[in-house]
Amino acid sequence: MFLENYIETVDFSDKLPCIEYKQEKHYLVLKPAVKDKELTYLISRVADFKDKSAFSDLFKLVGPRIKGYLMKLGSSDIVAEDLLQEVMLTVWRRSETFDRSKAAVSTWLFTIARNKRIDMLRKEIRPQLDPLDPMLTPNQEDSADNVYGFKQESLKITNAIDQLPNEQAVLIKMTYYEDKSHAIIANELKIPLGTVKSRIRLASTRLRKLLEGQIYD
Amino acid sequence: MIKHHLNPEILMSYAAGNSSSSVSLIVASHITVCSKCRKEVSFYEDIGGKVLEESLSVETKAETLDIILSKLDGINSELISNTIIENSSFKNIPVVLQKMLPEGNSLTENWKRGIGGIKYFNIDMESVHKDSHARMLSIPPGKKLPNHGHEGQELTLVLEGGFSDENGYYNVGDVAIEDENNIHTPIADSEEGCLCLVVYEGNLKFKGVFGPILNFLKI
Repeated sequence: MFLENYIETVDFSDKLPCIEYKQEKHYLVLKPAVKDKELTYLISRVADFKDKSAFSDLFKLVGPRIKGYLMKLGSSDIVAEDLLQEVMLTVWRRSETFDRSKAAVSTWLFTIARNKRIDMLRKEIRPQLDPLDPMLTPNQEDSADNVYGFKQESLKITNAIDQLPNEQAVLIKMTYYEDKSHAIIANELKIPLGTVKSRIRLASTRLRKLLEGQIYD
Repeated sequence: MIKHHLNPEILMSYAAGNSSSSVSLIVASHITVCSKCRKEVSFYEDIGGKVLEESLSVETKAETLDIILSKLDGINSELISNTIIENSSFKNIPVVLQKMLPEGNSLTENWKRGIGGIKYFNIDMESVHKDSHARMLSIPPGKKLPNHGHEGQELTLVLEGGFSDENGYYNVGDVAIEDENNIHTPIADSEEGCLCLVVYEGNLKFKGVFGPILNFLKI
């Protein structure tokens, strides 16, 4: 969760009455669903009013996580700081295009951080879906509420990955945490490329059941 | 109706941000027209969001926020602009792919001619992955491509017309996935031919009598 460790520097009590929080030692712990709601609120303040105070609060909540994520994927402290600045400037620029009905805040931030990291570190073109392409087919309507993202009671991803067989878990971690292609993974683990692919396929089916299945239960 | 989809491992790599630029190109093009695979990418990006949420916090430098705040003034918000490209002679090419093709005038003026009426255009991905390639391929109706294998994976997205191979018929929007060691013999649709985007890793390996010549010509 974004808030642990850092909440003490942010006082929401006057402006965010819908938060339910409790004081635990030095931390305030927010309920996950509320967290996303509050991040959405801060982003809407930035989008509608160019509210720098809301933007600063947003930075304090998500900045250290984004930096942590970037460093986990191999960025040095200096590079991670530069990338974080880029990410936050993009958040400022694109706040009006953030659509809660299409993605969770964490997903939106992840895609921005992912793209900035690729832009800066690989210096290569990374073609991306154009969300306004007239050729875009309509989304599937497969549930009444059509909620994107996981339900609040869903497992933490780290817990879900831990529930996978070890041989699958290690591949998912290398994909998301180590930025490694299948060929490199196969080479490092000394297993055939086909085995890497089939294990990732099994893992993705299992993760779907663990994480997404709960939406429709 | 799209029958041949991308597989989970390709979509997950794209979402996690570690697929090569040419594979990213074909994934982005396919998910423009395939809502099923687009939804699956969203799922894998949601996992990325959770990974971000659960990442260990690392304290930022004391001055970072002030530096960012000082840069905010003068930045205009960036509404995603609608990027329809007017001059393309092909109507059925996703915007993400159109951006990679020659500007302004049509692709047709830039075709290179291969054997048997096959035309192609190599897309410059400016990639750090030197063995990752993308090319547009236009195959005349009924034309049989020499059967070939691959050093790496080959992905083919149908943009116009269609083709069939040992695995069935591929219509507009369908993707064929050929792994290393597979040997296949694609035949373009007998009436419309086939316009497709092909991305592959390593070199193609042509089999059969003309194989050495084809390998040399690198069609």
